[in-house]
Amino acid sequence: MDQKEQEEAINKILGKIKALPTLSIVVAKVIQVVSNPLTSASDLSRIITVDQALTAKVLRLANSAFYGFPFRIKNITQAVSILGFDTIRNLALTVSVYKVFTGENDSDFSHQDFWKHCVGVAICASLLAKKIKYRSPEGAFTAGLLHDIGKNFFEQFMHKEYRDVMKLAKERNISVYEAENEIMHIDHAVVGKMMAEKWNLPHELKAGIAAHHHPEQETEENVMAHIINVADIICKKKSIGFSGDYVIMPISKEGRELFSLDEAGEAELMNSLDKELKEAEAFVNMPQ
Amino acid sequence: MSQTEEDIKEIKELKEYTNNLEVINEGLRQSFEELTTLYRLVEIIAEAKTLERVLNSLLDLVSEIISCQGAMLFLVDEKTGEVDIALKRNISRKIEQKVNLQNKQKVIEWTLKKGKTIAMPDIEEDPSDSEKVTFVLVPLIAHDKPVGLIDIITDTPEGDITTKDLSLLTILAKQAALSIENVKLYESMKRDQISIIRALSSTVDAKDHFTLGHSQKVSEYSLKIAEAMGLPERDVENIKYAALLHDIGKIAIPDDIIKKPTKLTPEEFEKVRKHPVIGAMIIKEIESLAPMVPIILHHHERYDGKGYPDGIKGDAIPLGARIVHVTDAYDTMVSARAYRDMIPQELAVSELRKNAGTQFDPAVVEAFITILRKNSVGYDGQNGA
Repeated sequence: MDQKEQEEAINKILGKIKALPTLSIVVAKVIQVVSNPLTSASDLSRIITVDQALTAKVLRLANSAFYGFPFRIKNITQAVSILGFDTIRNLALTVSVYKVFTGENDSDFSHQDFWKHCVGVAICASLLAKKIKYRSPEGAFTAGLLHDIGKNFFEQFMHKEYRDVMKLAKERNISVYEAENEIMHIDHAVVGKMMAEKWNLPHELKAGIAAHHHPEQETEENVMAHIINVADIICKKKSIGFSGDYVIMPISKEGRELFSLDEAGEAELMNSLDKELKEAEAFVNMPQ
Repeated sequence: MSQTEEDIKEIKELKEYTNNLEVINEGLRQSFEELTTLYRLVEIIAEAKTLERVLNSLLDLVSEIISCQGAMLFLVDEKTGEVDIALKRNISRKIEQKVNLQNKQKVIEWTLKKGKTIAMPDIEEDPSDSEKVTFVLVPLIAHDKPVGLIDIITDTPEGDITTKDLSLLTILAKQAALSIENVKLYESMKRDQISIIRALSSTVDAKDHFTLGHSQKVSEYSLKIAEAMGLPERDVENIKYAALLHDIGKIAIPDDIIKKPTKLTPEEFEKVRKHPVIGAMIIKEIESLAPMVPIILHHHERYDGKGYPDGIKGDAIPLGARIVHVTDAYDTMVSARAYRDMIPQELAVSELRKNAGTQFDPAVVEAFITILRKNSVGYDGQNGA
């Protein structure tokens, strides 16, 4: 393929990203009002409840064992007052993003396993964030859920080519993003970054998506990039779900230092991850 | 576009610009006020020296952030991990019943585990209950460990509480939790210190069964005198514990001298006279007990300067030492000793009075006699004199 053809292929992809449906207006508003400190739980509830399906899904997640609140949360106002503004924002975001992608299972690539990988990374990211007292463990959770969103895009909109990517990665024993670059000339992190831009996702989420293979490239939200990078590797090591990758990169020196992951630290993290995963059933089986 | 139309447009833009500036300005002013309030609150909490004061000022300050009908403070028991009410403010019986519900306890545990500030409605769904309240639960977390929780009862519906309110409360709680930890640490050190003092003091008393309880009594009398003389709290405490330790130097004196039933030889007496110096040397080694050293060292000085070890007189002798000198002499007189029987109380008091101004500080003697007269029914110090 010559350079011109390559450019055309990339432009075709960019066009498809542009044509992606917008996230709901509701979610856009949610992101906006949550950043205002004078927002009350009722304000946020008024915005979310406009979308009944979204409301029901958010409530289902809020009442899941993952949060484990001792009695039933009946409405969005309560959910916000109890779980917090950030949690509800992120639940709404997750539900909406997830809604954009629905697809049939495939023998090579199970959506169920892929999503489980994302949930694992989300939980692991939030554990890492808490460990180093990162300002927003909630944000880390959501960035973890969304970090491979570019793969969803390929899977849904370039299904045939993506089969080839998966095959190539497996045959040549290279990482998926290397195979993507070879076949599509663009990888899922770059695509994910563009999607985040299109959807006006908060910068910390964009950083987690865009730089999860190369955290050193992200300056402003460097810690978030490292969180997602390490969480991704840990979940691959532990075979939580399946991301399509057979190649597992080692944890970088910076990552080990940042999260104090010596042998004991890593074992402890894996332990907590196991425990929390058991409670995250509601996320693994996302409401359709 | 004509000139006028352009002008109008420009004026409109300018107006909009000014409006925006005003909004920003107002926002900044509000943030500044919040920060000032918060800074003041945090400082008050950090200054509080006792657990009671920390908890009380915390409840006082919470109402500056959120309208609050009442509040409760729970503390986590370090040993059992159980959560117990430590302080209540304006809590009706009805509210208290709601708090005691099984569900509510679970919610409190959940909040502590997650370390999250939450607002939640009344759990009890009683339609006849018109009085709707919201509970705002703020966990107190210090060094990643839950130490307690504030439960604020407010009539603000849970939906109207803003992120700002919750984060201000969380910051305040953070500082309060640290203060609680500090105060607890301080109080436990204090308890250890007192145990050390008691242990040391009982070693002396154990040497001679005749002096059993002597240090304790001297301490009780000295405490009362110090209080009656209006000394500052810190000095009173210092005198109380120094009195417990006043004879600690006697552990270095051979038993046969201490228990000797007959008169001491001049050489033996010389040895006994060393006990204030030895005691001061021992106690000097414990840094936190340093303020007690002068009292121990000088408790055998006489008001007229004829005492030992330094022969100082009058106000040159630390007041604590002058007090202990009186109470030590009195308790020795009214107790039996190896070498003599006890002396009746009236006689002991008249001895004190007789030697006031020479051996004893007259002000101390006066204060002591007043106390003895007050506390002892059927004793009339006046007649005894």
